[in-house]
Amino acid sequence: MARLLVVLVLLAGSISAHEGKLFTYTDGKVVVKAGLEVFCRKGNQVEILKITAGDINIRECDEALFRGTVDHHVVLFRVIRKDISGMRFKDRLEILPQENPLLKGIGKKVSYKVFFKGDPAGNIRILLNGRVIGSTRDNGEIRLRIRKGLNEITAFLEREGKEYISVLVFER
Amino acid sequence: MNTVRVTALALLNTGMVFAHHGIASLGYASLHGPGAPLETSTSFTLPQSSWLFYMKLDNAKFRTYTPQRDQEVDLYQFWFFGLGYGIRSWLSAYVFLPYSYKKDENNQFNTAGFADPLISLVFGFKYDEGFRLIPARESLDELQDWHFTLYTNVSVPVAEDDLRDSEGNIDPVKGLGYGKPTINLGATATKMLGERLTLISNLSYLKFYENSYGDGLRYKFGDEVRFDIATTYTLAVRDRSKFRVDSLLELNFLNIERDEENGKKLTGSGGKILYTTLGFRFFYKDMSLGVGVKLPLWKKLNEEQEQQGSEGLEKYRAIITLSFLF
Repeated sequence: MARLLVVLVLLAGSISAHEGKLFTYTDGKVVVKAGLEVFCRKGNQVEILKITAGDINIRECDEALFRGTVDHHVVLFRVIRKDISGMRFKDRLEILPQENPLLKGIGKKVSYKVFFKGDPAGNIRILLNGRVIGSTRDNGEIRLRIRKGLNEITAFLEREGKEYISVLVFER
Repeated sequence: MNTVRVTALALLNTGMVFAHHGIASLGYASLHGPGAPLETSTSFTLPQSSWLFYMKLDNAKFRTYTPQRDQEVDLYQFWFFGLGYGIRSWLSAYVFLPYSYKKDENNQFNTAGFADPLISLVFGFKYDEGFRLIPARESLDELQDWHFTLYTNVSVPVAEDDLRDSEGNIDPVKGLGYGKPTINLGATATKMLGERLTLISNLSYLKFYENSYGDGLRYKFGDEVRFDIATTYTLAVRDRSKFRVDSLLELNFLNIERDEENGKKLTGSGGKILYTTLGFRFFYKDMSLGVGVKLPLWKKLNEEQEQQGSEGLEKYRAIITLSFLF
């Protein structure tokens, strides 16, 4: 459990605006500290970039996904800039909003579903902005209120000797 | 956290009515989320397939009005032992076994023993952009929604209802059971305001039925309406040690109808009482300990001078609850 919490803190924090973290998202700009595959979707068009590390501007993306394996962590970051799509990565842990959180008011709730390798994942502990806020139901669902500012939702699963991390980010 | 209340009985003695009883309100709550008062039932059902062991002591010490040690009621203790089970995330069932100890000043007719067991059902639902059943797991955000329960409990009249004093007289007040089932119907509403403050309200109605005793007496205890409003405030939470402490403040209103003897309403019975309950609840892992004191703030009793030993005329009621979720 202690290890789980450490990993959650490290990776949830990694997406916050702290220097030296794996993944930092601020105002449409991402700083990546490790090589991740990037998918930038605009409408129906998806641009795929392979990067090592550095800054990437995703302001033009409706949605951006970053996937890769860092050490023994299998990670997937999803940043919603405008809307969501059905883009899925069924080889890892995913968090998918069931509706566009950018279209709902601050303080309203949105349902999210967590999938592991394509199947609903129940009893997955969820962090919101670095703080444990609950666990998914058996169907993978959790409902969370929309916060003003950054909404950073993190799921973690240890399975088959690997640690799967999924983070969903949007800003209000 | 959650939610059943069970009621023991109203009592009568030679020409004086001792209408009072203990209640078992379940206080299921966890490290985070809404709090659970001592007397007011909350709106949270048990997690599905989970068991809850519950124990409560309601120790009522009464005011006495004569200097000598006579038949005035001195002390009543109501113990409740309960077992709950989460049939579904929105449906819980409980069984309670009450135990009562009733002591007079002169110790001439004290009684003690197990009372009528009670069977309870609690149905839970919530409002989250529409009414829905309480789901299996809720996030901390969801726990801040309005939650509601509807509940009922029915007693099984198996305990002795016609205990006799040394002269062979039956006193319904001293009976451990009521001879007939009692039916309690209630509803609760709970809302968290922020992460620390919880508001809880409860409304319930307890129905008694007339019982015939061995000496030909027909007796019916007065029906009751309870309305409770409670707040809990989380004073401290320690995630690492899984410890939490809440302060509790309740207002408990009770309306008791007159008792009836052989079909006639009795004087010196019934009335209205407003209590306050103050206390603390401590959580450690899946265990919860609540301690508090319940005091009458205001009362309007029918023929109050005849009601020594009844609700509203306590010096205090000390309350301790203990529960384990497993």
